[in-house]
Amino acid sequence: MNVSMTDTDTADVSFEDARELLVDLVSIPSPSGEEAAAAERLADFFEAHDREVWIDDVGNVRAPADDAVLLTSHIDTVPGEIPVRVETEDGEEVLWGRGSVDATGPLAAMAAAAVRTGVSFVGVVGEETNSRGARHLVKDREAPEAVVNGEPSGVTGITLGYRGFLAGTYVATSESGHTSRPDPNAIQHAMRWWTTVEDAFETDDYEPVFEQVTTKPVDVDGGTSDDGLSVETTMDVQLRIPPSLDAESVRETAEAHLEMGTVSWDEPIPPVMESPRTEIARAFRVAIRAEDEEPRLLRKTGTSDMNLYAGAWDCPMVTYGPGDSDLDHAPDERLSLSAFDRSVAILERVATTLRGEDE
Amino acid sequence: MTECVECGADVTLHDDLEVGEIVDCTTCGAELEVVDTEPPVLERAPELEEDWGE
Repeated sequence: MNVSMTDTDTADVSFEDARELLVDLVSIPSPSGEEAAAAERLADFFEAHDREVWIDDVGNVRAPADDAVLLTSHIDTVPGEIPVRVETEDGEEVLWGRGSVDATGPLAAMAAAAVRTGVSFVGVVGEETNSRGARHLVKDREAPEAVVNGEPSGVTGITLGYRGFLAGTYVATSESGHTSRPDPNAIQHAMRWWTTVEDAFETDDYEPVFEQVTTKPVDVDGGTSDDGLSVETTMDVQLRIPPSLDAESVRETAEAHLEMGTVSWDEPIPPVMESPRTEIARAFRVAIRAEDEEPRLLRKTGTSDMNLYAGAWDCPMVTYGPGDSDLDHAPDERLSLSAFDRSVAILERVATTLRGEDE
Repeated sequence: MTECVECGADVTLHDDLEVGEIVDCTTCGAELEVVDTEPPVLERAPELEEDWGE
């Protein structure tokens, strides 16, 4: 879909209006699965500026327009209440609140820029859990010509890469017996398997984390069963996948060391590494320099919805948004409002460039 | 034609050069970013940094 638009399809959004949207969205709790109220506020913003908008079957806010670029970020946040307030820190106004950085700041900045420039926008749900919004979007929509995914990269950062993600659940059962017996039980089998997996992916200290497979157990439960006849263990694990590998090879390596028990794997998310030489990356560098800042190119050790977009859509993309990602999910999550304003200006300049209009 | 900011060698530039474009120095291999076109000005292109999280 590539909708041709004219200047009449754009609308003015003042920095005050953009900040008001940001504060409203941060003030509305929107943990994954409970995004409806925030989605309504976001949809109202587009409606108020005469933009076509609807909330789709999974709860995404869809505002299609010129597909020269799709601006998209996530509506949901991780749980956690942080009292919403604006404080002055080192002479700057700073907004405190859950989601201010991850990723309501990028979301509101993109909404303002999309209305100002007349490009397509989607606010997706469920990014912090199973990415159900992004998964639905790639099945329900044709590829745009370019994508900006919204996550905190900082005003000057352009994120080009993310590692992939593989999650699984290990389950083992052994017969119960006296603990003085030498035979390993299910808990020991789980521990031994995981130790061999960690050893298999161990690398030298100088290897950048982005290029490593990193391993993390995230939940473990074990002990004698209720009927007393067996010992059971369940362990949830996560592995991050560098662009040099695919999920299948990582899975094979992990399973090669499996002597007892079974592992059920979730659908993997592939890694992504975009070129800095695309038109969208160029447009960001120019826009950031126009704000008298030095652009930075980033590759992140985590995973985002951009991984899914890159797997489904054959178009150039980057991730961008205001905020310090060290504050992702943190109890002191907060966003500089001047950084928010500058990110809106940068996104507007990028979208204008990609629409083929004057920079 | 302009000079590589890393090694000083001549860098040949094409006619429809754009600001923000990345070009290569064929002598030292440096990646250079065009920060102006009238006249052409090159800077070392930003290097890829590693960051945590999303």
